[in-house]
Amino acid sequence: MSAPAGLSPETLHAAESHVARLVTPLTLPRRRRAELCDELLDHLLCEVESRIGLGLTEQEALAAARHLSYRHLISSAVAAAAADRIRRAAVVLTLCSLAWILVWTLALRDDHSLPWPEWREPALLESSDNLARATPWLALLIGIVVTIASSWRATRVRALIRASQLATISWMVCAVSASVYGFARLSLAPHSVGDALKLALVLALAITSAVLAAEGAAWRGARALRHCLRDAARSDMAAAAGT
Amino acid sequence: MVRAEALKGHLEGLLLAALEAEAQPVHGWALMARLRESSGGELDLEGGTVYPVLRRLEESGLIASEWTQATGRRRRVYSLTPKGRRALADERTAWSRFVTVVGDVLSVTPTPEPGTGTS
Repeated sequence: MSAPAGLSPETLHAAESHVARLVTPLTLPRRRRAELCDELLDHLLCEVESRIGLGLTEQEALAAARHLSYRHLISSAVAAAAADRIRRAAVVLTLCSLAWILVWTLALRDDHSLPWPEWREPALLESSDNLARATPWLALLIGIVVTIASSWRATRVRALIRASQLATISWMVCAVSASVYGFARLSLAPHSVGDALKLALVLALAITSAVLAAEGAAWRGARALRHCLRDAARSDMAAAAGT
Repeated sequence: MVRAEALKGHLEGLLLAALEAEAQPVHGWALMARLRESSGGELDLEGGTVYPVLRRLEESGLIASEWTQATGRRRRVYSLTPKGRRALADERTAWSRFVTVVGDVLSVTPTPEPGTGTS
């Protein structure tokens, strides 16, 4: 990259290093990271050029503009983390569903039953077997759709992502409600330990997905941001002490 | 100085208007400078406020962005889409109505109570 008019290569290099140090620790897709770097660098250099126009030296201008870039980064990173949150939750949901289908197929399935629900049965929710078989397939479908949708450009599939999120929330509510209902029925008329185990797994799958979606990704995003800002601030303090 | 919180709900319209005023696609920093200039320095917004709104406007299809090369570095520039122009026209209409309604209410002077007026 050549130096912009009016800025020395040293200033440009210092600005690039500053931006790279801010952005590198963030867990972002490669393309998003490159775009954030470029936009942040352009914004920072515009600020530097503007301050030089007001009579500051390049070093003074760069030092003043750095503080502004923190604020810009926080907003951009939080927005990126929010987009990532959907994708991560969807991947977790997909993996949980696959694990549950595997557990069903290997351990819980009766000899005569199939790993998918019997839709023709009149009372679907009254059958703990059917509920246990339907839940992971629905979760798997939602997880795959959201994963694919969130990997595309959000501008194109925003409505699809929202619909998938709504479907995910609906599924969680249904799974929790049906499980509670199933447990209530089991307590009135006990069937078998297997039925209770299946319901417990359905409930655990729903709750795990909800907790991971709400807490896990947010925690990771916040941790990355906190580390990045702390490192940047520490580095700036060291630079200031050196000068 | 107008605070960013006070602009909640109106910042989108302001950015659309600032973009409409530009003949060429502009980058975020220039948009912020344009807002600062056209408001006489009252709207001195931070990048952390403006860029997320630009993202939202782009996701809604009201503005479009593209990457260009400027003074030796990559620069993301924004422009108004036809949908954005329509949204801006609606925003202007809604704002005029808002100003009229609020102005009418604020300009009402208290009527003197019977017996307290001058005879």
